[in-house]
Amino acid sequence: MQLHISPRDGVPIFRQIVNQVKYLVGSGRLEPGDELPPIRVLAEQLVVNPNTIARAYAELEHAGVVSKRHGSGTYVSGNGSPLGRLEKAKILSQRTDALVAEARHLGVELNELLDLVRERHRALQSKE
Amino acid sequence: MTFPLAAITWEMGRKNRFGFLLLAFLLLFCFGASQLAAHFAEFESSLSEDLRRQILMSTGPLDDLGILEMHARTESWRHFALVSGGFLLGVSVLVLFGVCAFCESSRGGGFTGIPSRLFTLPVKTLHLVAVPILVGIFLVVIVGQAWSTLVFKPILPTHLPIPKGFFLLLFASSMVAFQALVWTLPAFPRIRATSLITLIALVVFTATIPFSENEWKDLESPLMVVWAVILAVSPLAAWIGVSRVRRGEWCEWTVLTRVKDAISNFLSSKRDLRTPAAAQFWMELRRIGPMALGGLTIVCLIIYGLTAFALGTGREPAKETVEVAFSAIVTFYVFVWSPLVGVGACGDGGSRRLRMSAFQATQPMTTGDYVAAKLKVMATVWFVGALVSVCAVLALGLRLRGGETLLSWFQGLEGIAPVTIAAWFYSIHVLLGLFPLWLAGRVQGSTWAFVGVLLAYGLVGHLIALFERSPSLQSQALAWIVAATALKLGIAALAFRENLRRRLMGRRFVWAVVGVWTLGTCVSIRIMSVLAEQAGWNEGLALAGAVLLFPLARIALAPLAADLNRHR
Amino acid sequence: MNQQPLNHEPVIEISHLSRRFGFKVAVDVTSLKVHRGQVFGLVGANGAGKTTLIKHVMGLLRAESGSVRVFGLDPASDPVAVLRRIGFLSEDRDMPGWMRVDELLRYTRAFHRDWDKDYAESLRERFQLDPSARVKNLSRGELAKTGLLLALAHRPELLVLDEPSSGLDPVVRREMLEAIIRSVADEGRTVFFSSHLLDEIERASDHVAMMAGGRVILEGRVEEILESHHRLTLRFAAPLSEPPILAGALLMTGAGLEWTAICNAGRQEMESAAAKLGGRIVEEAAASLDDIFLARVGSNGSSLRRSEKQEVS
Repeated sequence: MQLHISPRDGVPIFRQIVNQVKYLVGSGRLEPGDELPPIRVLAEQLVVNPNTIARAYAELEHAGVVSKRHGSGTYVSGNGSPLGRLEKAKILSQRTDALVAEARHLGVELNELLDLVRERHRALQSKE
Repeated sequence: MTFPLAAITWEMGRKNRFGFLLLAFLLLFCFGASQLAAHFAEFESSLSEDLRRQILMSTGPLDDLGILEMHARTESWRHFALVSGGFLLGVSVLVLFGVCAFCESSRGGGFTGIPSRLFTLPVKTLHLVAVPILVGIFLVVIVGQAWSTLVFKPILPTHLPIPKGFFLLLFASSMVAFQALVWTLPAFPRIRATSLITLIALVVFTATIPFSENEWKDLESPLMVVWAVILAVSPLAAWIGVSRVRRGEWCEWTVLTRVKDAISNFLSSKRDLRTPAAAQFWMELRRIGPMALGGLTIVCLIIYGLTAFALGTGREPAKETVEVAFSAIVTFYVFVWSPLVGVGACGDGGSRRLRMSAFQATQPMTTGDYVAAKLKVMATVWFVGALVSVCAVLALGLRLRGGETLLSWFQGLEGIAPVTIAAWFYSIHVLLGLFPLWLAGRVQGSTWAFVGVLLAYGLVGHLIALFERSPSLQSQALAWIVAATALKLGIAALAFRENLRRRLMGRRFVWAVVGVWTLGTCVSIRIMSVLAEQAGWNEGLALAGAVLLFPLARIALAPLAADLNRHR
Repeated sequence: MNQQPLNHEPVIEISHLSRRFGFKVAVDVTSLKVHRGQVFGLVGANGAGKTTLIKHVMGLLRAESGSVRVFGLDPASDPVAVLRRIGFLSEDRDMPGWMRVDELLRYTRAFHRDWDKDYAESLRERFQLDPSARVKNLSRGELAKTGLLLALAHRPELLVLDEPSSGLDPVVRREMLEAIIRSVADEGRTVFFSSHLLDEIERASDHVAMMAGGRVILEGRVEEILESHHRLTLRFAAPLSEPPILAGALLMTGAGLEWTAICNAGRQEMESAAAKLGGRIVEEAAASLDDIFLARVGSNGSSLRRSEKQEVS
């Protein structure tokens, strides 16, 4: 599992970790049952305060992305991400805003953009 | 003068404001003393004419006693002005050396040469060297001239002609030689320190020659030539040296480094230091021990060499030469080496400055342990130093022997043995000096601390002389000494109590200090009684004074002072 | 380790501490607590009083008014008991220059009963320190690593680091930070450190206090601070020559029609405040610690004059 932390962009580090793990799960690079590295190891690997990692794991567990098995470690949950509709919209809307604005700036019509999105979706699926 | 040169001159002045103030203060003080002495002399001479006239007219009774007392007063003031003048002139020249050294204290302790930041400025090396040299010569000549006219001229006995020109030459040459050494050898602090000590010893030695008339007649012209050559060569050496240093050469001598590494490998024991006290003792000893003892050995060797040379020429009676050398060793040991070791030992283990570094202050040891380690190291170094200087004196005796036995030589030098022992004993007093003041770390820099202790001891010396000279004060002397002793014991008791209350030291420390003090005081009383018997002093006074000699209050105050330094 | 209950007695507790040097107030802190297991970062410009505060914690300065308690003790009156439990890296790394590295280790070891020889040796190897090198010949990075090694080797309960990475290259900085993080992760150590590198603070600490002019102007958990501040870009109907004054905005930079505000008020409040002046929010982003620091420290002094400079960059 490779995460990349950039402390300068104003998003708290624990949220960066949460988002990236969600992304990794969503894109299939982490599969259900995969074990996340222990807090201590990840803290040393990312050079980040272990309390921050612990907070991120707690948040992920709360969101149902991962689950803790007592005494053995943290694993990706088997039953996919049970995020609420609103929650999902909230995560995606900011990125979508940026995408739409960029498209408008480049003079790309909405339909063209949607086509592009579909195409990328197919590409991603075929890779898996 | 172009602007960079003006800036360098300005920097020297700005950096040393306090030095200049001190110079002015010393000059003013001695000027005052000299004026007073001259005034009394004039008063006495005018008065004696009056009296003479009275005698001629045979009117009124003669007050012989009054005249005698007046004469004693005049003489005592003249003596005071001359001695303090000579001493403080020496201090002034030392201060001037410090002012014109034009260096800064460096990160690892000690001093740089010409600060390297100046090397990055677009200034020619020649200018960089020439300005401080010229300023130095100018200042030293001005100061010498000022002292000669303002202080010495009114009070110097007319039968003793002092070669002013020679002294000015000596001051100027030694100043330039000093600067050259300081600037060319910043990468070799120990070699530099040794050469500087040698230089100062040579200067002091040369400065005493004009006072012995026979020698002066023969040596005047060769000495003038030697010092003139030094004056001419030193700036050149400084120029070449500083150019090299600026180019980054002369900063390592591979052979020397290898030897140093070998020595340090040899010295660094791999044994564990078990307690904080042991570790601190090791640190302080490693820091000052080799330097202090090496310096002392070198000075003793120099004096020995000079004596051997003087004996070889056979100009003076051998006994006198050895006596001079002997007193040189004792004077150096008591008045230069001991206070230097004292101030050095009070410095911080890391930075060598009097202010405690964070590294030292945050080691988990009690302040009492810290002070105790310093005291132990001072005692050790002092003891070994005493052995070294005794060996030097014995070596002189052996050198002189020529048929006589060593014992008869000692007997020949009447009273030297007790005086020597007393001097060595007294050096403990000087070694501890202003111990609590230094440990408090509020004095800026060791140089000032050293000047401070010299001034303090000068003052004490004058006080004692004052008591000695005036009969009216002598009757009160015992009361004063008893009061001082009571004050000392009182301060010690209060300080110990406060130390214990603040848990700066344990009871063992107190008992050890009190025990050593008792022992030391007994020895001091014994020595004093012998001395008093020989010199015919007032025995009661001498014994009472002996109680004051061995330090107690200063040691008791030391942990409190170090505490002030540690937790500012 | 995670989310320790904070009902323990705090490791460091400072209350109503103030200290002057001459007329300058060096430190004036009403209350500051560092709890067990926290990594507490102290941020501030040069001369903000960080070092003075740390010196009080280490007992190098005696509290003139107010009190400093470390492990419940006064570090200036009970130095041995306190210092034994602390590992300290001082700002100027004033270790004795004449000592060799191995001598320095041997010397320091004598003061600590809990000195772990193997751990010290492994740290020395990891930091690639030559035991026979003289301290005065060490590079700046090696000096910092030596200091950190001395601070860590007796596994202290509290690590106090004054500017651990100032003046270091990124490689050494990373090494130092890794060693600190590792010691926190492995042993749950409390750390109190100062820095002016905000990304380092953000990575390493869970609590920060920002200092300016000797005072603590902002204190809290890192993510709370980050989440309570936003960067809003406002667009006004007519160009403004002066920065608009909005309640809740800490720093306003920009020119003409568009202005960027760093604010700690909610979006709604800002929106209504801007509307009064004829502006609307056109962009909203998270504020980084850098932004917040500049805004907070700037707003203490001459924040508004900063606007032109900021515009250029």
